[in-house]
Amino acid sequence: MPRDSLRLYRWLLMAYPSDFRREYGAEMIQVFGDLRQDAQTDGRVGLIALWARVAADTVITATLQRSYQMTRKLTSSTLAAAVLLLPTLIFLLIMFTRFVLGLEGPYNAWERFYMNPGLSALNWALERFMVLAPFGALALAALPITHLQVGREDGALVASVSVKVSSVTIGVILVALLMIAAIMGYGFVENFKPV
Amino acid sequence: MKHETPDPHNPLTPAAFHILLALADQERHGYGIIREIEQRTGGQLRMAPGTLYGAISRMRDDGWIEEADERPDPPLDDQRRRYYRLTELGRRIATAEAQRLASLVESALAKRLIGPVSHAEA
Repeated sequence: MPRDSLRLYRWLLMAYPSDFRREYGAEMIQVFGDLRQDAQTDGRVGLIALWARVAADTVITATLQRSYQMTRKLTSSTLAAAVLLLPTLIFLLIMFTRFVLGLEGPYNAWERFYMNPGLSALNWALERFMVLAPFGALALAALPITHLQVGREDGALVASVSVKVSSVTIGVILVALLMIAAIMGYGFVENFKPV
Repeated sequence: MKHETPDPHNPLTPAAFHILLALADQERHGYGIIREIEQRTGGQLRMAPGTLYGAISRMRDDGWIEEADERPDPPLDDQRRRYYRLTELGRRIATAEAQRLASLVESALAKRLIGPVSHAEA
């Protein structure tokens, strides 16, 4: 039983981010073992109370820890890239609701806005922005992950490139690439409709 | 949000303040911190490992606490345990929070929400 509960707690720790687990996982298991020994003095009730407390604590703190780590990894350029993607994302969602889900409401609202002659200059700019934004976002998210270092070693010029990438950056890059593919696909379908 | 100086308008979370209090008089390991808080609060606050190490991680990142080399708890000593202690900044943060709470208690006393608390009562 004690070994099983330690194994179960070790399994629960998978909810935490890997960096956090590497740093504190062993200590947390040890502390849990100590708390379990204390709880055993109150018998089965003590163990149930401990598990209830630990399970609830794990759900809350693992979620907090994941969001905390994500915020730390979010650089200003990644954040700017994510913001740049928003208008295109909204546009693609509107197209998705119409062409895939068959819902006309969001599309009709978009069309009323898009066809409004008073807003033609804004729409002209928005249209180009939505096509170009995913490329800008891709550049913003991808450029800071490479670091070029140039130095001299034994009289020779040496250049090295290091790459540091977080999961959040990878996510933004993937979304930007998907959007570029979707925008190009949409443009192709709109311009080369079969007669 | 990183606290680099004590901010009287930015209260600490109860968990963070209790951990700083537990480390105010000596270095402790994780289980030692939990036991000290439990004893001090008469069993009202029983911290679980996730809350404890989440707070420890943030406080180490912010420079409020650090790993200690001393091992001051011989009966429970285990080479795998890590001991933590307050840094100068951590002590200043804890002091500022204690002063903030003390001034709140003074206000409550002045408005007769509570009577004077004797040490025997506490």
